[in-house]
Amino acid sequence: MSTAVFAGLSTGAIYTLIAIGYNVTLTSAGVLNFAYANTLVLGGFIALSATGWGLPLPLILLTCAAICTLVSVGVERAAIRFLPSGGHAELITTLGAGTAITAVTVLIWGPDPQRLALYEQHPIDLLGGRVVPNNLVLIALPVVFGVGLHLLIRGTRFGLTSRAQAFDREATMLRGVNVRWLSIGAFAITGAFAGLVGPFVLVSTAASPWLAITIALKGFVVLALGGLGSQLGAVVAGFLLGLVESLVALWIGPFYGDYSVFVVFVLVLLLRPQGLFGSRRLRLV
Amino acid sequence: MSIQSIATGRARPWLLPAGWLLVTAVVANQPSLGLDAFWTRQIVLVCLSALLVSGLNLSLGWAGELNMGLPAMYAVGAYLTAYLSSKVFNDLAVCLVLSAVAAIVVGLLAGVPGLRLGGWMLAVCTFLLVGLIPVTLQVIPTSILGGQSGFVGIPRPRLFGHPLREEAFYAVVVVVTALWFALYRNAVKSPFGDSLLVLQHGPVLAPSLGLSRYRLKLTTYALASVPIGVAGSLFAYNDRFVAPESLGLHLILLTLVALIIAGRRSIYAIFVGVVVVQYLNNLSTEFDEWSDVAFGAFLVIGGLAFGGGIAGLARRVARRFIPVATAHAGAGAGAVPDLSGADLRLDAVRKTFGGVHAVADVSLLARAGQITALIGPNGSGKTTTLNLISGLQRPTAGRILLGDRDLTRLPAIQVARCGVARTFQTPAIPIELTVLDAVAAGRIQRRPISLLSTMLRSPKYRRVVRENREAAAQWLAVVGLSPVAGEPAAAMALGTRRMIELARALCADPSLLLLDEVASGLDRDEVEELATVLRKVRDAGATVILVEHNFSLVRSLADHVVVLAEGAVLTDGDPRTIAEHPEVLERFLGTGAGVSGTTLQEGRRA
Repeated sequence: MSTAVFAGLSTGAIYTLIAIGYNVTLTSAGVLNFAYANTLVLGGFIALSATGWGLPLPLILLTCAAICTLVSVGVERAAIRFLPSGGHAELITTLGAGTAITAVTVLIWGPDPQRLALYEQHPIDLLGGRVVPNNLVLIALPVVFGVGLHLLIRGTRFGLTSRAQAFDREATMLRGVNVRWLSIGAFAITGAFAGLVGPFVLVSTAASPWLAITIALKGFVVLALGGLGSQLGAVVAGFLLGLVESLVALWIGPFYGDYSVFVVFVLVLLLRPQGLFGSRRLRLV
Repeated sequence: MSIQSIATGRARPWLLPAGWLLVTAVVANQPSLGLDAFWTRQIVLVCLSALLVSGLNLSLGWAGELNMGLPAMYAVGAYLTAYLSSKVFNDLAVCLVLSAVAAIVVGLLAGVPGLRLGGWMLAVCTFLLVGLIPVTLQVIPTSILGGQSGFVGIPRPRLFGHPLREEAFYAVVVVVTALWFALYRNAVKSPFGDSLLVLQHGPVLAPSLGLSRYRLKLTTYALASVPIGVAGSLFAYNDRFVAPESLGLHLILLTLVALIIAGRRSIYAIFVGVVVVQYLNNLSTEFDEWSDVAFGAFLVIGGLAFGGGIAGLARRVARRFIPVATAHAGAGAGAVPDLSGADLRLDAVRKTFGGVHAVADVSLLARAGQITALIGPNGSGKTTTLNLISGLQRPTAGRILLGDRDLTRLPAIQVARCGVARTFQTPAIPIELTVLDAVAAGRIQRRPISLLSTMLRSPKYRRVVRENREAAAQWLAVVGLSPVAGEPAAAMALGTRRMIELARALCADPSLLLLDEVASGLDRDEVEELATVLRKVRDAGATVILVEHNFSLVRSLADHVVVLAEGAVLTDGDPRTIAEHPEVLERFLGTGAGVSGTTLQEGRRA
């Protein structure tokens, strides 16, 4: 039971990390970057190579963050910059960008899952369950980054203009804010973020390029459950969904975890479309 | 050009069905003409993909929503057919029908919760369904559906008790595909398709024409599931093996790429898109690793430029060879049919936004057979009042009555169906409609036709469409736009688009007509024409409410003027009294009334 709770919390943490990334571009650039999960997985694979070169951990993470930042900005330039206003074109373009990123990942590292180890992993006993240290790191990450990004949005000029942009894009432009740079900034931040956390995610799951699509979707469910634009909501909803999935798998059967995610999403859509902590203002239409 | 000839449209209506029949007959007979197994298989695969692309096009192109659940619906068709044919009852026709039904059920499972919000919410909801395919196959015992390793042992198809040979099955695939495309074409080239184009225009226009966005999307969504389920069924019979690996993201990507090449809302060009993708896919087995990079890159580029595709290109080329009519005849040619107006009564209607009173206790009476003008400075609540009447906004307090009917709490769709038609400050003209069809769109809700009637072109469908087009042609004659009836409406000049909107509103045979600054941006001649038309409409018996800044036009037209200021009624009376009202003069008419607008003769009643 405790083991399942830890497992649930750490998968939930992964979903939260995705939802947090979605939230940043959603508030600052007004678009949902579906390719973000693919970038994050790419970050993990870069760490796989970087460990092979024998770099120390901070340098590995720095490398991942640097490359993913470039990739993410590339996604913004290619898939977002020229979007026609209105319509759902970003659905197709970011899906395409994600497909391309994952395809490149497969080209370089191959399609088969690999093991990524950043540091020694000895399971420890905690509160009546067993947990590997990386999962504890994973559980801590969204809390740290969630708070960090929350402070960024609340306390900086970037955050202020982002919120203004989310509230009224045209008025913000008229006030002399360069929303294009805002968009690039948001994609750069999420890229760096993906590079930093991607390695920890892949340590926990095994490094498979196909992981991206699964966590992209479940991360979106967390985003909707928590409420669009709410980092706090993403943290709470992520752990909640991870727990539900893990406990359903424990009590009903291993295959029913995925069903429970679908059911949760349908319930959110039907009963609380604005999510747990969302305002009705930020809408994805 | 007579009204009849405008309404009938295309000459030689038998040409298209005959041509399609001929193509189908030739392609279906190909094996006897000596096609080898490779080419037969290629054509079958083209047919299956074309079915899938048409399904995706219905949801993405026509309903404007990305449906990622395609592999799930495809899987349901394939697995149902596999199971039925090998274990229960092997009949192709039964399997096709049941697969289509099952695909609709699965499609709606994800569509109903997702469609109301649309966009990403729908895309992810349907995408999650695809993720459940492998899980479901593991939950269901291997003895039933074969589990992860796939379903083997699907028998050769039988049809009405007779086993189908290879060539006969091939012919069935071709005929079924051709038949579906005929139905699909009929479904979208119709008032149903026109209302989907209205839908694309945004959230406001459809309800104010009495069309339910949600119902339209849901219907389209269900219809889109049909070819996908059918394709799944044919796929199972063709390969006689179904494996879960073929039912994932890759299938969506290929279908999406083919659709982008073919073009949004394309019909026949879908086959071109499918052939291109199939050719690339056959090539890509040689450099497999790179194909996903290429497809991904193509989606980025294609997603940005998703538009006409091949179909749009063909249309543009065709347009070059067809002469364009630009002549603009004067208004007043056609006769105006009787309109049974009803008195509109506003009783202490109020609308507050937060603490701001946009409309504060407005009471007014607009009589049938009269033009009531609503004037006042910017922000005085004129447009809000119109929105409250037409149901786009709900009043905070007060009552709105049309004749005996209480409109107060009705949503815009219901208000429109009670006979309230309106125009907008910025003309709302859907893309891709001809002027005639844009006007006829005003009538779609008056005589609903079932989708089945539409697809089969039943006698009822033909009669209703003919009557609607005749009515539209008649109103076009009234507003003087008959010469441009066949031109694309959205590309017209502002003045023309205002007239199209007016004709569309009139085409609904409204008892109440709401006009929001219908004269702004019109030149002097156009304003004269407008005034002529509106007098005829008034004399035909309609209730007309005119929101207008051009006081000279108001003076010339209105029987009754209501002056709003800061959300409340300042005064009301006949135009001459209003023009001399000291407070009105001081507040916004200024001393030189008529200077700001076109000067018109004072109204005469016929």
